[in-house]
Amino acid sequence: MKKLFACMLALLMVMSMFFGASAESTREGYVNTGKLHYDLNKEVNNGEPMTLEFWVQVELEETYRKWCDAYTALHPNITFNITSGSYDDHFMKLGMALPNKTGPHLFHMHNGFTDQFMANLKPYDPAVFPLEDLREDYTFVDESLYSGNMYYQGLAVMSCGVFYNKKMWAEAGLTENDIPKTWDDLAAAAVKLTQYDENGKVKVAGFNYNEMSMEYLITAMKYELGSAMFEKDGRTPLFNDDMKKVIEWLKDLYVEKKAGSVELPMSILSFSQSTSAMTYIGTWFGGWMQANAPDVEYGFFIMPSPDGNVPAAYDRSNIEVSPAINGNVTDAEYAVINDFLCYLLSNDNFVLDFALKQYGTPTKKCLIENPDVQADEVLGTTARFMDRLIYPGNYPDSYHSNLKKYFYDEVMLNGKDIDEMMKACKEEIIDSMESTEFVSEEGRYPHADELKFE
Amino acid sequence: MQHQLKAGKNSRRLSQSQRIMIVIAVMALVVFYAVFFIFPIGYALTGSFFNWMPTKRVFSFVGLENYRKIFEQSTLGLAMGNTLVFTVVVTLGRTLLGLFFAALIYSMRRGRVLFRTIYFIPVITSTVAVSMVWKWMYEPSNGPLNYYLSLAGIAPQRFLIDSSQAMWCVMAMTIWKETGYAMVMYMAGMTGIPGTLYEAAEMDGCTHWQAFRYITFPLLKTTTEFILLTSFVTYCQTFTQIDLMTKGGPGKASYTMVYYLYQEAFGNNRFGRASAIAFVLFAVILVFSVLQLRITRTKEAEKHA
Repeated sequence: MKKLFACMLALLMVMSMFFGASAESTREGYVNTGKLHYDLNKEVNNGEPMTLEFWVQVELEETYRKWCDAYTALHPNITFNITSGSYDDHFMKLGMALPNKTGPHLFHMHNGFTDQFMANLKPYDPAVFPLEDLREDYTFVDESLYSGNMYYQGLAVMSCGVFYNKKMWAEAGLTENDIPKTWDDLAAAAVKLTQYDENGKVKVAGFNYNEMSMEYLITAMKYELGSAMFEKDGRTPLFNDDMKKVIEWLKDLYVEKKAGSVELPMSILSFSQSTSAMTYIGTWFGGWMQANAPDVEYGFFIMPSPDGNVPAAYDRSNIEVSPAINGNVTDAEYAVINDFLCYLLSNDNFVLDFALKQYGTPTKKCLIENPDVQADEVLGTTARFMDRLIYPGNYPDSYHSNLKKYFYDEVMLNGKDIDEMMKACKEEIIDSMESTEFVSEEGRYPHADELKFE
Repeated sequence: MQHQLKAGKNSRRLSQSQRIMIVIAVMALVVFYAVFFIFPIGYALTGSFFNWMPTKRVFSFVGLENYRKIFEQSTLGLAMGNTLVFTVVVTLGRTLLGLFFAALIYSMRRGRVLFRTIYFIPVITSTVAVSMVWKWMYEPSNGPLNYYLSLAGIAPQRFLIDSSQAMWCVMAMTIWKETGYAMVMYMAGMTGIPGTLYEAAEMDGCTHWQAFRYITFPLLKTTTEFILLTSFVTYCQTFTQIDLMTKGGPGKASYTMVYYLYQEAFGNNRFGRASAIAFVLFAVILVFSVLQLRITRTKEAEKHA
């Protein structure tokens, strides 16, 4: 009997050691330096098993899987069934599935789809996510609220800027001191970097804004001239003389200065193939380059202002956001999902992983000075200019797709008149906005008083 | 004799289980068509009179507003014109080239299977893959087409980024990809033509061209009609290559009806307006198909009379 008792005691000790170690390991990686509270020891769903369907964009699958597994290790009764798809597939499938009540319990969200998906979403539970705590931990809290409800939280800030090829920069005799401070500096550097073939055609563009850059560049340069994207009503696109000036400047860069050519491939491809020395694109491009052209050494700077002075805003910013909750989940599922989301949002390491994966600057305040963020040329530079980046809100995709269609395609490729195209483009954007409830957030920008809204 | 008649009657009478099987088979087909064709078409037709945004759960009656809007905008006319040009050019190109290659290969004594296979490969290759390769070939600065043009002393072209060339570039790719189908259909038709006709023609001193003109071509009439009709219906709905190669551009230079429809539905979330476009396209296809069938039947009737 004594022997049996001793054996049982030994077994209990071994088991307690094992479970003790395992409990420690589930906490591994979870760091919370913020105010949003998460209780690692709380049981969820009364210990009853539950599987949550989670749809994610393929680029984020690894990150989400890692943290879902960590959550399952903490709460073994909760498992996740992760389905991934490309950006287009993911959001098109959601668009069909959510209204038909066949969507997942939670999914990776993009704020551009807020207007479309809103009717099918459930807000985060305010009891789990007190706004005052979130405001203390994060930026972009109030910008993520709709009628006072939070449907997601911005986790990473994206912006745009100029990527330059360091090797070409050096070969053209340019140094770090030549990083442009004005539009004229930028044009001069672009001219210097341009290479021509024997027939005088552009072989290597000094600057490339083809296909997926010009539309965003117009917005940034217009901000730098002090003009907002939308008029005071927050819905009518502001197309004014500043906009015309920007389009003329960009056209001049290609047509008169011959520092670029529409005949080269689209901006990101050309830059990655070293047939363009500079391009203007979203900060996400840093991650894209690491994955697709790791041999090309690049530098990054924010689009310079027209005259070297601090402008009303340097550029636009946007946020990559936390997962959203399907409006059709049951109360029990809702409670577990909120617990999981609280686990993610309170966890510094998840937010850092997410931001680095998305190639954006983390919105969690404690992470802005993070060495990994600061060491990265793109993220570090963007973080330094954060105060002068403007968040216009979740304007519809059609805004920039129309800018591309009318100013890159019609003006640059088809040589149409700028004034006529501005009129046609504005009409089409207004028409496409009819189906949305979007209202610009530009009025909330801390330096909004420096902007023109008409 | 009586016994035989009885047996004949019995053989025509179906057993209970056979009748049940027939009812099930017919019902399955009816249900299939109702669920996958009639219901979606009816729903889309209804939707064309509504402000319909499924993701926002909006479905409110607007009468003819969607039709008024699309007829008001110049995009409909542009897309319709592009679609008709695309359909006519590709249909004719595919049919004529298909007939030409079929006649050429059919006349060969050796290597028929090899050439038939080579010409058929593009048909079974994914449109997505083919579009991406052709897009690269059309690249003005690095693409091989401009390189070969320069070797021939021809000035480089802008192809897909030139609004006057973009549509023709997509049509050329489509004809290249689809000719093999028409060719195989024609070759199948040619095997059905009795060799004795050619022997008789040869004895009468017919040239190859005369044999083709007066024997082969007339006897392939049914095949030609089939290819023309199916091509017309298919190319009126062209989308994939436009989306992948030009995105309807530059500007709207290569907008087709289905691309326009897609943009309205998935770009602007206006399924009501997209449905209205779909029904305008449906009406056009219906009118042309009926006309084509009428002409064919009239000719048939004249022939038999």
